Amino acid sequence: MNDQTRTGGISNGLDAKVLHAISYVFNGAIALVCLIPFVMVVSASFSSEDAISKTGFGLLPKDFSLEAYSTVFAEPMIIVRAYAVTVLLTLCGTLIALFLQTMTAYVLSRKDFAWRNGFSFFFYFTTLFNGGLVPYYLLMTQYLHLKNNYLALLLPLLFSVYNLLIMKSYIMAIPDSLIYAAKIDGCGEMRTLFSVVFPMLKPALATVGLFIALAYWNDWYSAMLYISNDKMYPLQYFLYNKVNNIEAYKKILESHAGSGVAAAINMPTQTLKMALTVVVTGPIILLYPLVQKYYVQGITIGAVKG
Amino acid sequence: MNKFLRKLNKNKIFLIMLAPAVVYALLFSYLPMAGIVLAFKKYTYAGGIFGSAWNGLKNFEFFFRSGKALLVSKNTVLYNLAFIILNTLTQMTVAILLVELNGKYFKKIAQSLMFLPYFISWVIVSVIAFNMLSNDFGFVNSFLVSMGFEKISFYNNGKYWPVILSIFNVWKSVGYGSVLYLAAIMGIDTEVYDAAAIDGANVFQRIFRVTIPQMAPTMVILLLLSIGGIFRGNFDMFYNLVGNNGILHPATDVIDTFTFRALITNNDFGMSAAVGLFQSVLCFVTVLVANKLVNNYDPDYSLF
Amino acid sequence: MKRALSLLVALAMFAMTLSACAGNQSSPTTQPAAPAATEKPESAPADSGNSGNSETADPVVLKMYLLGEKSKDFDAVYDKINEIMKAKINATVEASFLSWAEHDTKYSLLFSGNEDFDLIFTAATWGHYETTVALGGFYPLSFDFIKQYAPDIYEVVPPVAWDQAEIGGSIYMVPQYNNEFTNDAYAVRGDLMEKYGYSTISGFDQLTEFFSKLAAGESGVSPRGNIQGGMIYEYFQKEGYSTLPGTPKEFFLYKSMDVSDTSINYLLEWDKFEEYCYLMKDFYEQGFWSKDSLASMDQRQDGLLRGTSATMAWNLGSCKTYATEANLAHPDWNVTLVDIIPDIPKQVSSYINNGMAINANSKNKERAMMALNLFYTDKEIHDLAFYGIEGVHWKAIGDDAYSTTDRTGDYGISANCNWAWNNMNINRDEYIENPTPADIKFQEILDSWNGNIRGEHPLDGFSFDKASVTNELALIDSLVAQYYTPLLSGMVDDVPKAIAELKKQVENAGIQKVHDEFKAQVAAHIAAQS
Repeated sequence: MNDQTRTGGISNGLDAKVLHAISYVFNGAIALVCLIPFVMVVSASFSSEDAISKTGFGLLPKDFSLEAYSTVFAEPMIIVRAYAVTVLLTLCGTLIALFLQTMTAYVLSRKDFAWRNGFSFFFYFTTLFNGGLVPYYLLMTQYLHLKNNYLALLLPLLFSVYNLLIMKSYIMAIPDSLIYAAKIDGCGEMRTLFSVVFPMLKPALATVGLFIALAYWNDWYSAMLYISNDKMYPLQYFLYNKVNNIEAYKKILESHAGSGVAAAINMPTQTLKMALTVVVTGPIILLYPLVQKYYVQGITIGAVKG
Repeated sequence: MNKFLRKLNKNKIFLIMLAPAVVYALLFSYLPMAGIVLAFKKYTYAGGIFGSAWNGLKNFEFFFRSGKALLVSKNTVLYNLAFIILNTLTQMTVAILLVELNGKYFKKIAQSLMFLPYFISWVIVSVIAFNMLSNDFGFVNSFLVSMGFEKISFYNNGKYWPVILSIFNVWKSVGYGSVLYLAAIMGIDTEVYDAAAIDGANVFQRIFRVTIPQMAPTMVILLLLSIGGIFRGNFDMFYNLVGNNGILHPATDVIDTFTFRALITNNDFGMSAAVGLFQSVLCFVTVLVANKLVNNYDPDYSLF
Repeated sequence: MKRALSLLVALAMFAMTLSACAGNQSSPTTQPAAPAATEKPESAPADSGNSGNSETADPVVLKMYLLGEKSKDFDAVYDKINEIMKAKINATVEASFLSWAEHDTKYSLLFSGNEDFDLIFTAATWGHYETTVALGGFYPLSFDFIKQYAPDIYEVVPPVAWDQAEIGGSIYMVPQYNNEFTNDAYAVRGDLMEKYGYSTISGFDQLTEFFSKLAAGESGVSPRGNIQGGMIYEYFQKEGYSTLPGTPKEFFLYKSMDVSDTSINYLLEWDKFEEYCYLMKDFYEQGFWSKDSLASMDQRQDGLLRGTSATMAWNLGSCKTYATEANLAHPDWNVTLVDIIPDIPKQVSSYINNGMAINANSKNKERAMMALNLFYTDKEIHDLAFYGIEGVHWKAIGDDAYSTTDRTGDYGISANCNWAWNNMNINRDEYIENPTPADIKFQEILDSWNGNIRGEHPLDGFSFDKASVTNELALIDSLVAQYYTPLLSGMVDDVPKAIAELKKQVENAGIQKVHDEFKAQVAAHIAAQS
């Protein structure tokens, strides 16, 4: 496969040149608009708190300072551990969730499955109605006893109906004939799923896998609810806690008339927030190109058939 | 009965494959749905979910008596519609145009850059927005002044905000969303393109005759999923960008921000459950209708 | 296929290992191990007066929830506290913290999730007091119960504080005892005062006159920077009014300077309100505060510290803190403290701004109250909880002052959510060797305020039970940002029209019912007092 997959190898006419020009301008402009604020965030994270609060953001650091990063990395061992927890969790969670969701989506996409609409509705319904935090919290803590247990971080994101339905739409794009051919060859359903459907689904698996990984990577909420042992904190929660504590504390000071509460601590908040964004974004940005190759080159059904 | 058993037997493998997901949904979604009864209860800690006293429809009162129910519901739906349309158009265009390019590096880099806003939380977006739009030192106003125009007081004027919020929304989700369409295009059989090439179609014809129709199932599913949330406002976005700036509220208040403000001081479980239920029911009805319409057109495209 | 399967198996095993180690790790927190109890099992019936009671026969571990961050040496200090507790009441305390970032979510989950604990910090409004009482989370404290298990607290806490804590006829928290003032002071740039010819500012009119000159003469520095809500509190002070405890926003006032006047004033029908709104509109148009005010995310001190605001209004202590900080960075600013309305007696703020409550489901309510009694009134425990270990974290200067050491930061002064047992009879003051001008001014103002506390008004101890008007209050809360705050800040085009609109909206929301409820409860309160 090469880059010309999508264009069928004929893209040399005037029409193609016009299209390319439009594409470069349009996508280039959007990419730039997306880049600039991020550059501002990065440069703010390397600025001093004082300069940011006086003159706002810029494209270059103002009054270069590593204060924010030294606050983030004040306890390097904790950060390293938090990173390890997050990486392992993201890895396991993504693989298990991706398998579970794809298998379910495969069944729901099969036209010869009698109750596929019923079950699709059964799953979709859960995105419309929910009982709120209290019963869920009771279930997790009082019945499943998952406080301070990594499963409390793994389970909540294991199954997403959105991903399920998106995956289902991708699978439905695979011609039925391929699946029936596999059945005629004597493949069982699991075998068909693994040897016929999975190879065809690479871009879809990469996409949904990316979304699942991002969800695990960014999740601090489950940790806030169920993890109180600071040795078990995932990265996002550790950092979230750090920044929001200072913020929330300052807010309370402001609303709290009493001077009994200790006077404000002088810590960076704005720049710390920016540094935090950079710290959590970094690894995913590095990972993204790996996923990207599935968007740059697709699959050819003919090749699979052959 | 016999017929059912035979059907069961025929679908046995499928059911086994579904079992883990079904168990998961029953345990983690359906069981906690019991909490919906809170919408009709006067919740107390001692009574818990089932033991608390019934409260009739009183929990719904504050919302419907506010005189704002219609306005905030309308705002929620209109904003969501605008977001759905703009997002779909931008994301599809980005995906289609990117795919047509030959340059590998431009493609990769542009895609990566578009993903960056996804990582910038709304709190930080609001800081960036304030740096742009502030009356005193925002660079939009500095620019206007340097060009000889009057300053625009963005934060004291609601009429600019539907545009501002839409732009930020598109900006934040363009990378994330276009990936879905890219994956859909990548799933199209190359042979279909080859056939189009042999027919002598130019690139534009090919896009409209092959690429877009082939993306339709993904687009429809994504549309239906968005419609399923049409009565839910993106709280994080509205709250961080607008906050408690009441001057903007007539133009920017959505159900979720309204409820948040109303309940922030007395944190009433029953009332928030009531508003949540109201949103759920409306979403449910809307999505049933939308799904029915899609189903009439082509059952393969529908959600269920 | 095979590879995928084996991968899955490996994953499943990994997940099981994860949950297994998680299970192991969680045990220290789920099983209340009491190290102190095992170390000194026999020390309980030693010397204290309580030791003979059957109530303290069984050793207990009291679980206590505090707000904020645990400091580095917290455990070491609480080990010391537990030694004393163990000896005196045969109990030890195991404290956990809900961090500032998460207490809004987790506080109520402790109760709805049936968590097992005994004591918890609470505070009016921001510390979830009223909400938790309304949902039945706290154990009601009768005076008999207080007298029996916390006799020393009963001696110390003034009756008006219990009054304030009372909701619907019962008390649910032990309030702090500390005289703080509701009145705000101003931190003002001394260089600018001098530039416009002011050596001192005494009075609201002089202050606003100064602001006019500033707004006209300076660019880049506005008199007040970004503020929301105009100068309503300064205005109330000037007129001698205060907000009624429990009022939504500032809608109900009482004339706190007149002890004999117990009438309630509804803000929108208060004769001074329209005048106030016109005044603020004028101020806003003169440029006393920024056009960005309502959207700004500034905190109070930000404008002063960065030099875009000439003043900051806050409580006296915070004014000192930030004046000092600003002067450190810009010695030429010469920020000083000003009491803007010096001729009016000062009001002591509510005692329920900090407090401690007992969980309604606690299995050790009596012992929890006894422990609280010690925190509140036992000098040794009180010192430990407030300042840390003597000689390590602080040094005693006599009986009522302390000085800092180089390890003060490891525990912090008053930094571990010990405010609930603020007890001004035994709290210590900081001893400062080389006071700055701001320190001196601070002490001067504080002394003058302490010498000029206004007499107790019958409504100071009033508290509002909002159970019957929750719908109305929720509605009013939802309207404030749109119709009320801009008006208070002078940011409306047409004052009478804006007032009329606000009135229409809050009336539709049911303010009349709230007003009637306030009238009824105030009448009952007055009747109960006489």
